[in-house]
Amino acid sequence: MNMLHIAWRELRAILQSAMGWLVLAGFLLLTGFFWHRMLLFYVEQSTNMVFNPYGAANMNLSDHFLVPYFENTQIVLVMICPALSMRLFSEEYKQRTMELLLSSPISTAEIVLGKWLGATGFYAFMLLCTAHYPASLYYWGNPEPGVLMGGYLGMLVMGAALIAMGLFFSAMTNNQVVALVLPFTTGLVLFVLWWWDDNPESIAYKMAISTHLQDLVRGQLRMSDLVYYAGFTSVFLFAAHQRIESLRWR
Amino acid sequence: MNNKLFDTLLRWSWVFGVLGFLSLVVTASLVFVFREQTQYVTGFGTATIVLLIAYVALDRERLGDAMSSRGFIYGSGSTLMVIMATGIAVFGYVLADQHDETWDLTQSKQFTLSDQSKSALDALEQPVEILAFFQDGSQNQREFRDLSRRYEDYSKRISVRFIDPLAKPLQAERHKITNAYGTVLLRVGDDERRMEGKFDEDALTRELLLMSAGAEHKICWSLGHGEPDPDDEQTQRGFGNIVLKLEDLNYQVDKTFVMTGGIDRNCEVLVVANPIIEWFPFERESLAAYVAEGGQVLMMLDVEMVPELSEEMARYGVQVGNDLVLDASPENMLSGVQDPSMVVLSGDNFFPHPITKNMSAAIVLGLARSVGPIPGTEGVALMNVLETGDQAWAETDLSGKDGEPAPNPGVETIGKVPVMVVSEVKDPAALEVARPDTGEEEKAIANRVRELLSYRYGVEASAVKRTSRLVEDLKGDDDDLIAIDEALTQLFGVSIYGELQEGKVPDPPKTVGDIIDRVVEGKGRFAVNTGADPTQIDLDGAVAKAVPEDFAPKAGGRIVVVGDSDFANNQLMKWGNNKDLFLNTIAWMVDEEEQIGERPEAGDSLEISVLGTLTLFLITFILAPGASLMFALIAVLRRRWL
Repeated sequence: MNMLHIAWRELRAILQSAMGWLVLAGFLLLTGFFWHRMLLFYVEQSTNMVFNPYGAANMNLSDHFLVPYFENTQIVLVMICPALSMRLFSEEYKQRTMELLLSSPISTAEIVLGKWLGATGFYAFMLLCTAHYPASLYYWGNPEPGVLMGGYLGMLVMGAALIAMGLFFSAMTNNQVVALVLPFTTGLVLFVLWWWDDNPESIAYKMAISTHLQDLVRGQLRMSDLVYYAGFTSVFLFAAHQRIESLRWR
Repeated sequence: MNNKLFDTLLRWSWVFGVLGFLSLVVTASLVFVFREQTQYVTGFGTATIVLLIAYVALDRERLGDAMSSRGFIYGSGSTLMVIMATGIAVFGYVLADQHDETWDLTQSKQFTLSDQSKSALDALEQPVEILAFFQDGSQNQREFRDLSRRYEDYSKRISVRFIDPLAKPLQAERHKITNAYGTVLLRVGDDERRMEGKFDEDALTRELLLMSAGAEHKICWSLGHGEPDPDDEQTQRGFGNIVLKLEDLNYQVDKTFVMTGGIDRNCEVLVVANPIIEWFPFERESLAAYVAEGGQVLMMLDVEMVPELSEEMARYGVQVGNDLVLDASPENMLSGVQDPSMVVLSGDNFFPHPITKNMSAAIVLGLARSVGPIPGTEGVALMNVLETGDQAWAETDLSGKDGEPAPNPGVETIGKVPVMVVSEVKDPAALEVARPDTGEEEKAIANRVRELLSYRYGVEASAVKRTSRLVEDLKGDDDDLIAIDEALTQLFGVSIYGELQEGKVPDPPKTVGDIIDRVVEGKGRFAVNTGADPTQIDLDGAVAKAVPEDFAPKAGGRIVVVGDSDFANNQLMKWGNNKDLFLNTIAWMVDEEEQIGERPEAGDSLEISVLGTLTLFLITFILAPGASLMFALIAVLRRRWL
């Protein structure tokens, strides 16, 4: 229950701050840009393909629009999620409310989970604000619902994982800029890690955060991908927990 | 002196620590890059150990104090726990990766085996060993591994082994593997098939079908009546792509000229796709004889074409309408096309028949005519396969003289207009096959030549006399050779333009009568050397072959009549279940029902109006972000006011 109270408090703080809405506006602009341009490009291509029977047979919304859209949107998450998580603990340090929080009868786990849930809740709200994209696609075409579902689920789990990582870095420093740059850099490295070795069996490929969305955004849910994101999130939340817990005995 | 040195070293001991740490980073980087022990790795590794030992030895007191501090003990404990948590997470991932489960979220079940694949697997009578030669870690290997796992899970008769040709070159050489992108071998006993280039479900299922299908099927494609070219894969009208699909399924497709060669009894199916020139009476008799002997015919007749051949279908109990099927209801019109003549048929419009079973997507017909059963026809069993929805009608005013097309109750068929019928011959005597009369054929040919030339020169058919000279009287252009050649091509599917130009045709015809006489008189008159074999048009021979000497009628012949051929051409084949309708019909006629199913393929086109584009822009760039910015402003102002 405490965890939910903290989550709600965190969510309300974000909604009542200009920062949250500005992050949302940036998110909508960036993803909207991708959606708009890629959709119009697809329309142009499919119109031209009518006269090319072979090309037309291979043209479909999933492979030629939705999957590339979701894959491109991942880089937006790498930028946006640190912005959501940077103030979670850094703000507490800066405002000197950390001692108050730690001295309250709320366990560290509840604090960490509550803050993570709050930030993730706002992130889920951000995803909901993009509902007009698939709605427009249903109006004009016939998209594969499984691909849409997989894509949004993928964005949700990836965003939740990046927020957990950002929360850990936020717990490590009282400087919000550092709490923004470090998770952004780490997220970027993890995003491109598979460029080092694109062998699907390699460690670099399996460690990369972007490769585990490849099947999900196509509509194929893999247990291993979900386990990866769950493990990623859990490790950083645990690390944040340990960091906050260490403050009690310093 | 020694004390001084020692003090100096002690003061700068941190340098050893820093250098040792940097050396450690360099060593780790070298290991990551080279992935093996090199002299640099050994050198830097040794330097790391020496520097760190020196640091610990020199600064052991301070280190000891630090390590015994509460912060260090608790901190190292936390770090260890985080490392353990990471280890557990990695272990969990490895387990999940090795025993992975997948769930197919797609509506089209893209990651689930198609019905056709399942049918193909069910038809396997012997175990199939699949050897997949891919480089370890390649994308093709990964995708084929996912795919083959689904086949293995469905059928115990499938076993798959992956071999890296680079790691096992001897095995690769034994199997003659040379393709860098991968090769898949399918083996049943001594029989082996090879896949290269494409490794998707379609390709694998096709190979399995070919392994279990056994003998090839011979399909004869009728030509010589202006039909689109079955080799044409480029233009919209061509049928090249559907023929390729047939060949992929082990069908051998041969061109056949019924006029000169008759209908080969070895043809399992005769396909007649959009003839625009009438069949001669003896050709129609040839068709009846073929069906009466148990032959299978797929007859696709387009709007306003070949009225005589269309009427001939009544012989088989099929009424082919002289009309155009229109459907203006929005749900049955092609999205973005808004053309009522492009009729969309979906599940409710399919009759239960092996041809349409398992079809879930729509069928799109372009410019179709009604094709329905004639009740009470003796000797045949008739079955509807496709019909339109309730709001469609068969428009009979094709000239547009009655204004805008609209249903005309009492005159036109309104609602549930049939467009595809199967007629199965139960009693071949009902077809009344008779030997053709050469005299009738001669008249028909004479009329045909006149029609062709009147069309060619834009004159009334009645103005074309036997004595008309092609250039002077019919006001043709200088090149009367073209006119002659066109007539021959249209009539016989034979082009001798080159030979006419080179003067190899002795005494080429100058008048219409010349052409008629040459054609009617037949044998040897148009003999030209086109390489090894002279081309001869033997009308007497052709007429004689129309009904074989040993004509042996039996029940079981079938003729499937469709009021449209465009659904199978290069342009429309890709839409919905169009391709499946054609392929399933052929498969049903040759009794290869395990091939019947919905094939895994899709294609979506999208059209957005100008208004739609503007709306999309407005919402995406103005309204949505704008609303968010407005809330940000409210948050700022609220804070100020409070």
